[in-house]
Amino acid sequence: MVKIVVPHPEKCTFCRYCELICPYFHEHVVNLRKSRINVIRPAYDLSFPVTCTHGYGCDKECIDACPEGAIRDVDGIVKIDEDLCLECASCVDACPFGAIKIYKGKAWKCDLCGGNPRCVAFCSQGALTYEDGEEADKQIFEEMKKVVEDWRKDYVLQL
Amino acid sequence: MYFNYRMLIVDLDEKEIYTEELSKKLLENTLGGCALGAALQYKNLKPNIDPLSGDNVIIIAPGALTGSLIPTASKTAFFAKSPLTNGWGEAVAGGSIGVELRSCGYEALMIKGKGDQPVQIRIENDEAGIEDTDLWGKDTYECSEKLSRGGFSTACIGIAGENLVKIASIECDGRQTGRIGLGAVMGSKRLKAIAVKGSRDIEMAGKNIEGIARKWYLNLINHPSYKDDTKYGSGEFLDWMNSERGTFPTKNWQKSVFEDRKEIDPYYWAPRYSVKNNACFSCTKPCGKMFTIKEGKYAGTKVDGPEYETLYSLGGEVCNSDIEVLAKANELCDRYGLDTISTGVTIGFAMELYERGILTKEDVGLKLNFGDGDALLEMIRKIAYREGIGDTLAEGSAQAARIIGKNAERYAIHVKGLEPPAYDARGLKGMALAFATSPRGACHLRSGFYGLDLTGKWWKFENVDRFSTEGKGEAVATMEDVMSLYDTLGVCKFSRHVYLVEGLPELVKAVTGLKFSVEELLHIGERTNWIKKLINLKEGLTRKDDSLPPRMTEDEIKEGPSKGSKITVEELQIMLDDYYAARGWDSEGKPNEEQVKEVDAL
Ligand code: SF4
Repeated sequence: MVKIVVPHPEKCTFCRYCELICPYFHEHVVNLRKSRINVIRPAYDLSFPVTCTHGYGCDKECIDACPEGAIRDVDGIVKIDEDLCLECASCVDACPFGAIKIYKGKAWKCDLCGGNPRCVAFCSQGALTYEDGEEADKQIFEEMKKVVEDWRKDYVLQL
Repeated sequence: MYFNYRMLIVDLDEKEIYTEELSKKLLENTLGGCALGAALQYKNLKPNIDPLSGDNVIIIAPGALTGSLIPTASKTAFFAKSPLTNGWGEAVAGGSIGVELRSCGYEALMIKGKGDQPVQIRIENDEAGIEDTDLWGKDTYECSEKLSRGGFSTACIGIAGENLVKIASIECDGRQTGRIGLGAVMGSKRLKAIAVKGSRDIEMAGKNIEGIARKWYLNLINHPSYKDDTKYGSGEFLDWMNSERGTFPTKNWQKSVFEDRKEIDPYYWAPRYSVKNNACFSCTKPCGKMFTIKEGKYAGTKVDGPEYETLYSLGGEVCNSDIEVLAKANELCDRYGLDTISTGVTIGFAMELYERGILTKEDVGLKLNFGDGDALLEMIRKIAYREGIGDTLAEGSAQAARIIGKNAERYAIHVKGLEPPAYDARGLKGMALAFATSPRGACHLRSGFYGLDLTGKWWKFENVDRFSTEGKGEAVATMEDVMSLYDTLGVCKFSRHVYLVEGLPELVKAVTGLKFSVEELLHIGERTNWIKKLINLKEGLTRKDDSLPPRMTEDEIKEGPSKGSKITVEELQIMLDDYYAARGWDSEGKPNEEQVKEVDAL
C-alpha cells in the first residue's frame, strides 16, 4: 500500500500553513515559492490545496516526459533524482497538477517527507489526509486537474 | 539573519521607487509591525497635513513574527494619518501581504505622494513598479481575484475608497483593515491596489522552529475554546452579551439588549449558512465563516463573515434581525470596501435622526426606519457612491452631524470621530476609559479591555469589577501596552488567551534570535503608545478629545443586566487622571521629557 497526500478542498480555510511548513521541513526556511504543496484560490469561496498524487490521479506523465530518466517510480512513490535533472522543465509541462517546480536548477516536488508529511500534520482542518492512494476518491483529483488547468499559466514556473 | 534592514519607498509624485536602510538599532528596539510603523510615522509624517493629500504617508509593516512559522502570526499593520479622526492612524489586518513583503526583503513599505491617474503598485523582490491600472471602478472581490493571479498577495480598495469615503477600508486577501478610513487615503493617492510577491528565503534564528510551532499549534487546537471559536466565530458570545451582560448596543445605543437577536446569533446561522471556515494566513484556528445564501431574494450572497462587530453594526445597531439582509449588507460593505462598524453605526445614527424628525424622507430620499432591511442596503450603496445623503454620511457620523446641524451631534456616537464597536461602555467602565484614551478613537482592539470587564479576569488581572472605576487607569494603560505588543509581533489577538504574554519571549527569541524579558517586550508596547500620543498632540488633539459621546455620559442603560448604568463625565475624568498618572504623563496627557527623549533616540 502506498499512502499519498489527498486534498479535501471543502474543508480548506486558505490558511496556507501547509505552504509554510513544507519548505521549512525541506529547506529550513520559510519561502512560499519553495513549497511542494500550493493552495490556490480560483474563486472567493474556493481554495484548493494542490500537490503530487504519485500516479493515483494521473498517469505519471512526468516519468515519460523526462529525457534524462531523472524521475522514477520507487516502490510506488514518484521520486526525482536531482543529480540527473538538467532543468529542461519537460516534467513541469507534463504534470497535470502543476505539482513540479524548477528552483535553482533542479526540479522538485512532494516527497511525502519520508512518510510523515508535515502539511498533513499541521493541517488543523483535516483538509489534507495521508491515505492509501488506491482508496482515495479519484473525483477529487479530477477536480484538481480542472482547477489547475485554469490556473496553471498563472502560477506554474512563477518562482 | 531574520530582519531585512531596509524599507521600500514608492513616491507616486516623482514616480520613483527606492530603498532606505533601517538601522539595526531601530529594528531591535521596535521589532516590527505597530512599534516600527509608529516610529517611522513619528519621523516621516508632517503634522497638520490634509490626510487626503499627497502629503500623507502610508506605511505598511509586517509584524515581527509575520512570515515566521508561528501559527496565527500573519498580521500586517497599515499606518497613515486618518481622514476620519484627523489623528493617529493605524489598522491591522490578516492576509499574506506581510509575509510577501518580508520575503521580498523589506521590513516595511512606504508610499508617498499621489498618482495623477489610477495606478497600482506591483512588487516582486527587487523589482517594483508603478503601473496604470484597469481595475479602477471594480469591487474588491474582483480586484483581488484578478490581481492575485500569479501568486501575488494584494491590498486593494473598493469603490468607497476611490470616492474618498472616510470610512473606507483596505481589503487584504479577503481580510480588511477596517477602521479609520485608510481606504480613502489610498483612494486620494489614486492607488487602487498593491500586489506583492517575494521569493527570498526567510531564515529564522532558532534551529527547531518546527518544534516550537508544533507546541503552539497544539496549544491552539487543544484549547477548550477552540471548538466553539472555530464553529461559531467571534460572534459566539452574542447571546451572552445580551442576556447575561446587557451590553450589546442596539438601536444606535438607545438600547443595550437586542430582543430580536435569534437569527443573528451564530448558533442559529452558522449551521444553516456557513459552508466552510476561512482563516487568515498562517492561522490554524479559523474564525471566518463562508456565509452562503443559496436561494431566495439574496441568493448568490457570499461573504466571509459576519463576525461579532458586524452582527452588531449591521444588526442590533440598526435593529436588523434578518440574517440574510445582514449577510448581504456585510457583502456589500466588503465589496465596496467599507468598514462594517463605522458604516452600520453611521446608518444607525441617521436612522435615529430620521426617527426624531431631524432628517426627513426628503433629505434621505427614502424612508429610513430602524429595522428596514432594504433601506439599510440602499444606504450602504449611497455611502459608497456618495450619492445624496450618502455624500454627507460618507464623512462619518461626527462630521455628518456637524453638516446636518439641528443638534444632530447629540446622537452621534463616536470618540475622536471613530464610531465604537459592540461593547456598551456604560456597563463596562474600563472599556469606557479605553474608548476615550484609544489613540485612534473608539476602538476595542487598542486595549482589549472589554474582555476584562466582561469576564472579570485575564492574564494577571483578577476580580475586575465592570461597574467600578477603581484601578482602571493603570489596568487600561497596561492592556494598551500588551495589545500594542501583539500588533508589533503580528500574532492574532483572538488567540491571546493562548498566546499569553509570558509565552512571547520564547517566540521572539526563536524567530529573531533576540532575547527579551516580558517586561522589555511590554516596554516596546508602552513606548509605542507614547509615540501614538505624541503624534496626536502634534495634530492638536488634547485632553478634551479623550472623551465620550453624550449618549454614554448622559443617557443611562434602560434595561437588562446593566440597567441604570452610565458613565458620568466626572467618573471619566477621575479615570483619565489615573490613566495619565499611570503613564507618567501630565494632567493634559503629555508624555514626560524622558519619554520624549527615548522616542527621539529611536
Ligand atoms: S493547512 Fe489545511 S486548511 Fe490550511 S491551507 Fe493547507 S490544506 Fe488548507
